[in-house]
Amino acid sequence: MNAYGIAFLTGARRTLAARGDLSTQVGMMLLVILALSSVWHAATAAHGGHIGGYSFGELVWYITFAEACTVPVPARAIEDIGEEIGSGEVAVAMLRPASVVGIRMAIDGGAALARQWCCLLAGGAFAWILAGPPPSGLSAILAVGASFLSLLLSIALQHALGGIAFWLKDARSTWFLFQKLILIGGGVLIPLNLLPHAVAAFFIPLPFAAIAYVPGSFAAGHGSIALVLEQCCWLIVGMGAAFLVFARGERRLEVLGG
Amino acid sequence: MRSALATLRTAFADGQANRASFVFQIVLMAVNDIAWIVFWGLFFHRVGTANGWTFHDIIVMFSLLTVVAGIGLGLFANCRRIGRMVADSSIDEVLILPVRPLGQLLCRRVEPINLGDLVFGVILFLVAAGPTPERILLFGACVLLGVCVMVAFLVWVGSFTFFVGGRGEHADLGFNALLLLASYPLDFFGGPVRVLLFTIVPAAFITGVPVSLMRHFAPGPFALVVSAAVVLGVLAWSTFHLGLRRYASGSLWMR
Repeated sequence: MNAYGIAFLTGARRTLAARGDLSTQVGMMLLVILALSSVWHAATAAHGGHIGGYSFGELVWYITFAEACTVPVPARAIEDIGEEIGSGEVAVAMLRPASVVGIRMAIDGGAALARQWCCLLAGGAFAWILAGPPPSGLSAILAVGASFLSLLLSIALQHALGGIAFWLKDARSTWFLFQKLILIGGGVLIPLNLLPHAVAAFFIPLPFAAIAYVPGSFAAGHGSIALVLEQCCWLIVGMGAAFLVFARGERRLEVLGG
Repeated sequence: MRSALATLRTAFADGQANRASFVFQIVLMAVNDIAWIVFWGLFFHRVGTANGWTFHDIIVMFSLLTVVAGIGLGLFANCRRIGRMVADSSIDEVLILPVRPLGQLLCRRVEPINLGDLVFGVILFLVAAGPTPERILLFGACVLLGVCVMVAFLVWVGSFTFFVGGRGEHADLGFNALLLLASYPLDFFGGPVRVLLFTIVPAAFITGVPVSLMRHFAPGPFALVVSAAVVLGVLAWSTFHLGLRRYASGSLWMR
């Protein structure tokens, strides 16, 4: 196995070993699902069982997948990346014969995937209890695939944003902005097609929608090929941006000193 | 009391030491709160009213929650860290002082980011929640009781670490559950969850019941909130002090 595979497994093992943190995260996600499902239960009940084409069950599955795509990759990781750059840790990592951003993304990817599977298993069981089976078996399988792509995209974007610290020496505030954009603009709290038309039209093509709205839509049985294509395009852009930012940043460190 | 006030003053000065960071954190929290208001605005734009709640009720709910959280988590920031402090023995720093440990512990740290909540909540109430002299008075009373409930609950769950060990994860879960469930309308929850909000996670006494009091004041629910604050206060105080009796760890290096 190469260095990236080992880094990926290390990240996953570390996450699974920290059972306290993992159970807190999963417990928290279940609470969010419970709270949001109560909100949407009240909303659908006030509108005769459906709202904007979504039934209560579809909304519960939407929330579950949207949450399972955002909880495993805490936006605060952007701050950690920035701190590693600012403190010179990255300069030390550059001495290794492997890509700094590649190894970092592999570790984060392993950790996030382990967390996501726990979230999907616990969240899926909880959603089933709250709202019955997923609206469509095929859509649920596609939603799992979209969740994996969402995870990769999220990690790539976080590294691209965290890499700003190569120039600014401080990327602390970026994570906060990123988190809020995913919460509203990504459709974690409310499916984007339930927003006013102009707002939805603005947010749906953005990468934040590819992180939460796309897997959520598939889980609710509202997915489409166009959404998958959008997700793939943003994944390529996100990965490219992360590698480009780190390549430029590392070159800057080599010239100016770590 | 005097030592607690002096400690609080020092903690506040410490929080303000880096003025730019202090202001920045306050602004960050205000942005966070605005994001939630935007969500509820969009939700009620789509839904109209749900279970008797309107967007105006949400404004009142968020005014209450942000001011309570601003005071509870901003001025008495250690209330959410007791579990971790017990786990890593940093509580020892207080135990060697000739003062009452719980009060001293709570006043030792001010969290600037939560003061953003306080500023935001007060402005939101004054601008959008229809302030009148009676409503301001009632708002103040509800905030005071809400702070008691929140701080007491967090001290209570944090004190479990004395008995069950761990790194205070259960306290973190309790903290997140309280804050999360307090930020949704009480009437959206039914059955066992509603029972939970009045008992194990007393979020109903921080926002749910106070919002109904702000709509129509009734002595019964008000007395219920007062009782909850007193019961939780006693429970927190006694659990913390019982735990202190068991607490035997001195320093990390002795483990």
